[in-house]
Amino acid sequence: MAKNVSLFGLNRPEYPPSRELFMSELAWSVERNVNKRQEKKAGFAGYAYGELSAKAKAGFEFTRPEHGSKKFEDLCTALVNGRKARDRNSAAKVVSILLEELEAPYSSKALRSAATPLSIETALLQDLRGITGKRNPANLALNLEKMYALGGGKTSVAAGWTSAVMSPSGGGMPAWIRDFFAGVTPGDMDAIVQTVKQHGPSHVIKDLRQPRWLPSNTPYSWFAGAWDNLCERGWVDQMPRRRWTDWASCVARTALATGFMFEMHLYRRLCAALITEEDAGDAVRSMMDDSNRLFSWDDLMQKSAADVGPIVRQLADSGSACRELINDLVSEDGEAVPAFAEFDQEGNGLTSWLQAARKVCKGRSGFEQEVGAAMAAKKSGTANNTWETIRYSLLARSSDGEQDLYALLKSAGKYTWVEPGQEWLVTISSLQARGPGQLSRMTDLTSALASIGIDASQRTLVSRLESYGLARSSHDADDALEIMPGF
Amino acid sequence: MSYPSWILERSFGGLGVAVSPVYAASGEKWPNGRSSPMSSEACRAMMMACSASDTLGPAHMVFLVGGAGNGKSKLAAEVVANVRGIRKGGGSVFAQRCYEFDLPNGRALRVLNDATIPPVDRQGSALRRDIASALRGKEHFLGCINRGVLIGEQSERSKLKDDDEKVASDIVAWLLNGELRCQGAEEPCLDLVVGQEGGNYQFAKVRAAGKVTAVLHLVYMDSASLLENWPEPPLMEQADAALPTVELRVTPLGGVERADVATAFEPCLTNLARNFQKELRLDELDPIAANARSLSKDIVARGWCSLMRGAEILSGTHFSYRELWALSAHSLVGPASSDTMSRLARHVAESLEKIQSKGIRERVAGAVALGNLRSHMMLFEAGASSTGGEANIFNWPRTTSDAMKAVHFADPLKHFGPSTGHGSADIDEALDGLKDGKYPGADLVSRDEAVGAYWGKLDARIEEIVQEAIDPDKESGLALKERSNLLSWYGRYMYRLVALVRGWPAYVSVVTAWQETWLDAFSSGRLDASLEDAILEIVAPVSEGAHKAMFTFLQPRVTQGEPNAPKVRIEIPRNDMNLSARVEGDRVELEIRLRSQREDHASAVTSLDFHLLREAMAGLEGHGFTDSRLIIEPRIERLRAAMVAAQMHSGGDRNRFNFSDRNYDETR
Repeated sequence: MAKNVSLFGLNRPEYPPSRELFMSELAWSVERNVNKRQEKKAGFAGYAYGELSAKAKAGFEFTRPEHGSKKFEDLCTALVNGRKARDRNSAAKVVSILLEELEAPYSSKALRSAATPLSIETALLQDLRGITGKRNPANLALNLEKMYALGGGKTSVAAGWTSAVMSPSGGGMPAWIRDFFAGVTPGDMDAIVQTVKQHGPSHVIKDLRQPRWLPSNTPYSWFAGAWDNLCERGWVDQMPRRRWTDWASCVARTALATGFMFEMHLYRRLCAALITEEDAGDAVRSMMDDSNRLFSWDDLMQKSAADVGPIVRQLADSGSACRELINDLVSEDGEAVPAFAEFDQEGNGLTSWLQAARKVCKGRSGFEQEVGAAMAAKKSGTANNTWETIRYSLLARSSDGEQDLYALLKSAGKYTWVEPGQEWLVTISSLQARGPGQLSRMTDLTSALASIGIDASQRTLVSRLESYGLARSSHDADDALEIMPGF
Repeated sequence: MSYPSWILERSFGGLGVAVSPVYAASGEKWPNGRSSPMSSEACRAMMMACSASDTLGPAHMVFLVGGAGNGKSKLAAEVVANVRGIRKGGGSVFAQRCYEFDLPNGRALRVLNDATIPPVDRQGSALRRDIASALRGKEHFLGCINRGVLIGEQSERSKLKDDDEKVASDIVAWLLNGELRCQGAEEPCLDLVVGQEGGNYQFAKVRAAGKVTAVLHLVYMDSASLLENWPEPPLMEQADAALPTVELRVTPLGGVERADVATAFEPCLTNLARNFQKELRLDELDPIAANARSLSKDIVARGWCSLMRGAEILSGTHFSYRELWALSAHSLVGPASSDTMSRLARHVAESLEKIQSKGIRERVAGAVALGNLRSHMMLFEAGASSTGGEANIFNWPRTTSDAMKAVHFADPLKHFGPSTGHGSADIDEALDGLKDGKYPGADLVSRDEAVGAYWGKLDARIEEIVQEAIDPDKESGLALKERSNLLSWYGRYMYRLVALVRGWPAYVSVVTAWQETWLDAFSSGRLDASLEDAILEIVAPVSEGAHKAMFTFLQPRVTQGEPNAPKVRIEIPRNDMNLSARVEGDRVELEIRLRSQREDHASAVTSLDFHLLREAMAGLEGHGFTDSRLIIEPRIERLRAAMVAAQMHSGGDRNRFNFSDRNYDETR
């Protein structure tokens, strides 16, 4: 069995071009876990909802029912029988409207579209292969599950999501719409839907890493807390399902990007710490502290000073190179640097690893140059995929004229800066409350932001919260503000 | 020449020392303000319990909840000074979280001075532990707590094992929102005896084995605005029972009664100004002396308090004593610091020399420089932005604070006077008289008592110089642009002066309407019918002639939806929406309940603030939209989303949906 050389065991990422794929992949991960199925049929390229281009469509299965198809007619019949349409012509119009509404926004360059993953059935209307067109895309769901476990998550990301969307109280979606969308799923997927429904709420992935030395304010701990809150505490009943789904995507994409930023940051700093004399404990404390301020956010800062583009580039390029260097050191035969996993059970595990690694590397010929080269590396190995994952998960990406309300970064010209979409801040701050209708404090929000690497100016936060109508009477809470949840 | 520097102690950034239970600030020059309604009475009840000859009665617990600067520690210091307790443990020069005292009757008093100070062991849930410990030891307990601590200490009762911890966690939940979550279900438990609807006082008892073991007084220290009239509460009848309460009052700025009632802070301002004035031996034309003289008059202080009240309402904030002392100091000497005080005195001396010089340009410069130091100008300009070294403007240190921001927002130049009056026309007309050799300020003095009380020799001298400089009959030698600038400056001077003494913040009519709404909500839980319609029109607009609002719900935002777009929308009839209003301290909370709802709680809640009210009033008056629409839109959209979620849940199969695209529109 190959040695586990990785810091956290995360696989190298690939950015999913559609936000809908986060939930879709979670649904598919349940099915894959149960059935371990390899391939549907020879030449099968994946599921997609809509066909947007005649180019390169061989092998894809499009799940949006075509006008005039049997599925379309079945949907019409169901509407007429359910008294939601008076006659067949009206039913056809209604079916078209609902199928149109189900289609998620897509970019002008997209070849295939996705459905909004409002339920288990609609999440399964596409998969990662179908939308990306790649044969073996990186396992998005597994990376999310690993990050959730790193953050101390008790169940699984997929379990939380499936439980929430199967909420017996309806969860922000009319029953007949839920039934209608359930009917959109192709007939040959019924078994898959049943599998996900049956096994989703209890879905667990065993033996994921949970190093004891990870502090409680990392992107992973934020993700686990926010996800559990979103899925378990009744939010799904307090807002339309579409909004809840957008919140879920927002949490997932933010976690994915900031989780890799954190990993890259640690690799860089650990690599640098291998050749310094600084006390190992101090070095680890310092890198953890600095992980809380990878990005600065101050609306009054000049764009040139607020530019985070170079930070992401450096984290991805040099972080990837440092990762490769450390992996090589761990993989070496003979007296190798110990694997991180060996220290998972220690409260000061990372410090111990650093001490042990320094001993091995001491006196190693040309090692300082190797570290120097890794620290200054440009676009090495997997760096580009990591860079894309971080940048595009966080960047506002308008599609089809629709504003991206859930992005963290904006970009214009050569600059990229922190300027969250309105609903991003609403989502992040609301999930700091104990549940819907509960207050939180400014200190809770700043801690959450620090966990995901954002050092936000208080005046910026106050001004944003006030403009979104979330700030309440300003001088009585810690850090001078009570924050109302979005719902 | 200099000014008394003690005024800086409580200015913005001042170094005035916070009070603690064992250190009461010496306040000879700073008048003592009244404590929040019911707080003194609750503390008095506790003092009586502490002085009881035996230890048979229930423990007394007083919780003073509110932010810094509302007088919690001052009250705690008064209690400690009166109960003749012997302090346990060693003293420290630094403020501590808790102080414990042995009382003469053998009982103990625990004073939680500042719940934001972490305990020595840094353990979480420190407040709950403090309360539980007091319950266990049957100690009297006085807690000064802010809401931030309460939010952070909410915990689930079921996860606790110890009975006292359970009750303490119930108390923490009760302190945050006044609700009891475990009334009478098991013992020991917390029983609410009096809940003052919309007020700031509540009373509860802890019952164990059928016996009352503690009585609890809860006072929200910041529910009542210091800029409103505070009635005296009735006398206490029984120490272990709920105190007789008094209803909070709001007096609309635009109402005739406003001029007749003194607000809680008014005597503080007049006495402060008098104390400051006593120490000034200065030229009658000195602007700082003029400020002290003006603000020491009751009628001026009343106007000042009304303007500040407007700032509070417009910004949705609460001015504590700390903020109001700082604003008072700012009104007297500007945003000065110990470094700038002597420079300010020199600047005044130089400007006074200038107004004596022969050249009109010099005199104008001196007049403008001195005029800029009058309270009504400094409040809205001094320290607001960097002056860039302009000759007539004192180079104040840049000063920012939430309170100043609120005051700037209430600058009467933004929107002057009541919408129904002729305030601005009168002043415009009076100012026009300048060109004809008239003196508008002097004219107003004769007609308006409040202006007369504020107006002094300096103002008269400034007006003479301005009149002389812009009088077309006199060859002043000032260029047209200079005259125009001067006239514009004097217009600002007069408008702000009149607004300050009459108590007119910007948008005074909206502020008045908000206060009227508070009164409606307080007395009946409802809004004025037309205002209710206007707010519903914002939240749930309907097309002309229709009575049903339609909302998209499969889109990222819940909107009415664009016509002809392929959308499904849910219908909510307007008359299925029940809008009610609830007063929560100095806030008005709007709650929308849907007829279909089975649950008691509201499906959508928002605060009625200036922007929402202004937008509703614009709709009522047929003015269309204001720039407040942009500010309220995100909040309104979330209200709609919450309503739609509630309607989908509670309407069930009875819900109607509309389907539309370019060629099709049907509701089923």
